[in-house]
Amino acid sequence: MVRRLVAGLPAVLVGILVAVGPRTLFPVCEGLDDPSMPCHWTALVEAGVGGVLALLGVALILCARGGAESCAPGLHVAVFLDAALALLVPTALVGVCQGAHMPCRLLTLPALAVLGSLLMLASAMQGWRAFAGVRRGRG
Amino acid sequence: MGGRCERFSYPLGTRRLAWENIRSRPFRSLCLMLAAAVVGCSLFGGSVLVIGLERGLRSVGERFGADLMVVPAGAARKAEAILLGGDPGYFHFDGGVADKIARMDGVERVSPQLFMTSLSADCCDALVQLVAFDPATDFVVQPWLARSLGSGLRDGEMVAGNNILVRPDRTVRLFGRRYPVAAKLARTSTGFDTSLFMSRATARQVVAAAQAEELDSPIDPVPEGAVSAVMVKVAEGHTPVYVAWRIRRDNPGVDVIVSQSVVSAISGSLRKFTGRVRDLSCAIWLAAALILAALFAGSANGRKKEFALLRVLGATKGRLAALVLCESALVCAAGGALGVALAALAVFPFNAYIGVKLQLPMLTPAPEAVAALVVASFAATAALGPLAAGFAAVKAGASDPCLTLREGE
Repeated sequence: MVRRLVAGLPAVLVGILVAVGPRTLFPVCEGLDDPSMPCHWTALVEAGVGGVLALLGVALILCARGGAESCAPGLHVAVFLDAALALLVPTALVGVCQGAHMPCRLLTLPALAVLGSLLMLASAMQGWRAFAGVRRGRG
Repeated sequence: MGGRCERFSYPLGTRRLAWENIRSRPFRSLCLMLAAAVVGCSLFGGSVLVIGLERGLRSVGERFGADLMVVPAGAARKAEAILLGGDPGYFHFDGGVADKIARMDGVERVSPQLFMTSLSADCCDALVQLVAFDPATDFVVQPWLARSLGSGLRDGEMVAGNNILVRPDRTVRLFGRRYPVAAKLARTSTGFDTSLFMSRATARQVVAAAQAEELDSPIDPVPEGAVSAVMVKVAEGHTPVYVAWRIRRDNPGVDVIVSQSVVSAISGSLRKFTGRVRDLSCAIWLAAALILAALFAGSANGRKKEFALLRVLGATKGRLAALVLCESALVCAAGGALGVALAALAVFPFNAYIGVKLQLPMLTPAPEAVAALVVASFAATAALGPLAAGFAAVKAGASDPCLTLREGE
């Protein structure tokens, strides 16, 4: 149980933070409804990306049941790619406002970058271990 | 099983035995590692903050340039906000004041500057500070522009602060027109980061162009000969505070900012903050040393029979002490690496946010300083283990192995 939680919980927690953080903990600029501000779109996209991350985390927790351990490496790859997306949305794909003193650049951008990078690292390590475990099981 | 036998198919040295001991007690090792991580995190994070703030303060001192800044009465706060806080603003007074001040005793040089603000069309409607200086008399802006500009600033050209969005064709858009950017300045953590610098002739072109365009937010007209601030260099042998007092007395309607006072006010807040960070880091280091010493001593007490068995198998007292010290060093080194990494994740991406929250100028330390801090914080944390485990190491081989093994019979 502990191993399953360790495998899936980081993705669930980071997913929730990525999804709701840009509106609560590390908010984007005021006037979130202003479509001319890139951070408005970043917050919207991250809500979707974070939601998918949380669902993948839940799937990782559940996948050890009923002999579905072989799904774990694939789910970790999916978490890795989704975490990369969470990182790329504010840094390259959509971006945040240009003003150096704007809240989205000061707080939202680094918070999303740190969360995305940490989850990429964790899912790469866990995916590698899960893949090795599946190969051992087959051997 | 085969893998495990393979692992022990060669002699167990001190390091290997220490590593196996750490692996076999994961919870205890994790707790010790976390205690060490807190130390590593506080040492590295605290040091980076202190050095970053000190660097920011030096930058403020260097950029201020003049000994005194004469501004219209009531505009002193606004001027400080422009220079230090990066809050764009504008104000004017009659430029004739500059000539009057230049003739005063104790004044070596004066140079007028004009401040204007603009909406930047290319970036999020953020206000940009426009600073126009007089190249013939300027002694404030050009000395540090000289590092970025070899041949000087031509008319029509601008120099952009670090946070100004420069287009790929090295131009900036102002009031619907493009102007070439001669250089972009390094980050200063002051108002200069959000400023555009130009000569007074260029400023006149900008104002004329802005007035010709049909803009939603037209630029305010600047009266002919008006200036926003007169930068003053005080002559040798005169104190800036006394010259400032005389300027105020002889020129009603002006405020004088003494740069020394501004820098020392920031320096005062910085000293308080850095003092607290240093005290806290020392307190955490000492508290962690005591906690780890107690944990290692308690652990050595609980492992008396294990040590006695190793003695019976031929391990010397010195080998047991080395084993305890090696275990503690490995755990604290791992904790130190974790702590430094966590602090780096908190301090570097959020350094601008920390600076804004502390209301102090902050610049990231130079790469070589960061590398030195990483090594020093890691070494101080890794050294904590053997220091705290010294008593436990001595105690490990102190008891009689035969008596210890027969205890409880």
